[in-house]
Amino acid sequence: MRNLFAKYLEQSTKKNKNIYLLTGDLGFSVLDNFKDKFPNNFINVGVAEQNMVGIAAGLSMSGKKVFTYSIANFATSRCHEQIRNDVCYHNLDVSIVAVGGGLPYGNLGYTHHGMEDIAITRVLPNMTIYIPADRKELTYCYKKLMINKSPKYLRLARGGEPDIHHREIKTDKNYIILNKPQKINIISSGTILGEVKKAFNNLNNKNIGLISMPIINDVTKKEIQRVISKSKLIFTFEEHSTIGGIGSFLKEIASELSSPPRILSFGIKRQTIYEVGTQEYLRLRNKLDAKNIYKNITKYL
Amino acid sequence: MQSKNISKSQKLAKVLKKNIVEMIYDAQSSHLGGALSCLDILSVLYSDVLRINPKKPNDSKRDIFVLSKGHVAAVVYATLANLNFFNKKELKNFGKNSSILSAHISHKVKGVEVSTGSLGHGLPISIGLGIGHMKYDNRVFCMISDGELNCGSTWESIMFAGHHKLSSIYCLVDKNNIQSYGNTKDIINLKDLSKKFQNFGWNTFKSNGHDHKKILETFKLAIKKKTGPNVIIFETIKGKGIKNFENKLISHYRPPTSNEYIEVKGEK
Ligand SMILES: [Mg+2]
Repeated sequence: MRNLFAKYLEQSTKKNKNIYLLTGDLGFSVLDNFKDKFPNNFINVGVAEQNMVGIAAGLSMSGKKVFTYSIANFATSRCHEQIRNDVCYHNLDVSIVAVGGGLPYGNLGYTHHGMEDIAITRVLPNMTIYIPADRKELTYCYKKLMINKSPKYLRLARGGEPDIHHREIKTDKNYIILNKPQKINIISSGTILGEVKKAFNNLNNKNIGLISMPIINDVTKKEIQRVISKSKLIFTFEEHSTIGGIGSFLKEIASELSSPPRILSFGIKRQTIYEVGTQEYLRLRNKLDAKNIYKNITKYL
Repeated sequence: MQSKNISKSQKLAKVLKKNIVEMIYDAQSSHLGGALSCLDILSVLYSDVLRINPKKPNDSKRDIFVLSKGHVAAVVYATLANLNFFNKKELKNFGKNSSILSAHISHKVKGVEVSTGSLGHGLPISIGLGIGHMKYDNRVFCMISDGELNCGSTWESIMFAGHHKLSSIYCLVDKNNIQSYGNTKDIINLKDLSKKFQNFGWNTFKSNGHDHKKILETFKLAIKKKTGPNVIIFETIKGKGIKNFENKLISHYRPPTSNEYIEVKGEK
């Protein structure tokens, strides 16, 4: 996904010289082409994320469309106040692009696990979060992101993720329907959709809806409220802490309804935060693999 | 010509002092000390240096001023009002309920480019503004406090600007030697500050921060340089011009008393 993002950004920059890409000294082999083709639109600010976001804000105030690039925690936590004050409160056209959202850097340890990034960006004013599950969703997110002039957080995983969608995504909405919403629905964001979809296929139950929700903002809130209000039971899955992520997002919306559905959220558990291993292993440890997702759903049906 | 210019800034400085004492007294707000320490620098900057036009606040060729020590918003608001960016009557609302004139500087106020209030944010943003406006040769002036020289983000941006030789960047240090909870030399003693900037590739200038003639001369020297970035370290007095405030930590916190207010109001 990160390579496709780099490719798209190259295509856009070819046409629009107002695009700037700033990196906090990361992007080896991913941003090489961009760096070579557009040296005037590329700045490696060094290992200095606070400065990077401040510069991004200043550039955007000068009318530029700015992207910052780093690994999830460095892109968001390290410079959170700059994102808050300089980017979000000034409502600027800055996209915080992160790789390593969730557990793709599994064996690198908790410094490189993006487990709270959605929570701390979701709370910021004017912010839209994009969490594509695969390359098709990235394409869909990228189009929307390029016309959005407000703060954005694009949460990518790593590279080489399997394709989940087989057709181009064509919807005006901020969520994507894989199976028609019903009384019981499964909602997930990000690459975990691959595991969720496998579990869903194994359930072989036509009475369960399946929704991917790659875009989080106030518009999504309005749109998804209609789905939630007609639901009795919702399962949410995300490669993120269950605190403050998309499960929390849906619960906040549901709590405003007169008869809210039951919402069961699955994500990264506190007990596993020090563990390392492959992404596959860590998903298993957090019961976010297809088999455990299947089990958890059937338990409550 | 020069003496006329200087009298213009001195005239402004006198008005600003009255304005901010009144605003801070009225709102029972704080940070008068740090406002008084940079008041003369800002008077000269806005009178004789900045190429700005209140009728065209977004002119793409304008110079840009960023107040990184956002806690002294009062002095910038008063300056902008005196330059007709907005109605002077608005100043009465400073710090009051529902006013946009927050005690930390807000970009919602006409003429203010950037909101700050958390220290160490202004210089990185200024650098972005400098790079973004390169096409028009705009100059970006960023005032920082000496307390902000504790911030890692300030030094990140100092290293960056030096490395990239950003000639449009002018950092103005209001060196009043006091920060929020003590003397800078007792908290983080930076000793020879000029040398530190020089080592990172900056042109450095020093000036008294209250003598308008010297302030203007130093600005002119810095602007004449074709290279950059440039820093002017202004030696200033926190609480300058109010006896009980001068060089005192308390000037960071307490509003003026009614007597002090009346005294300043009566000044010629
Ligand atoms: Mg100070």
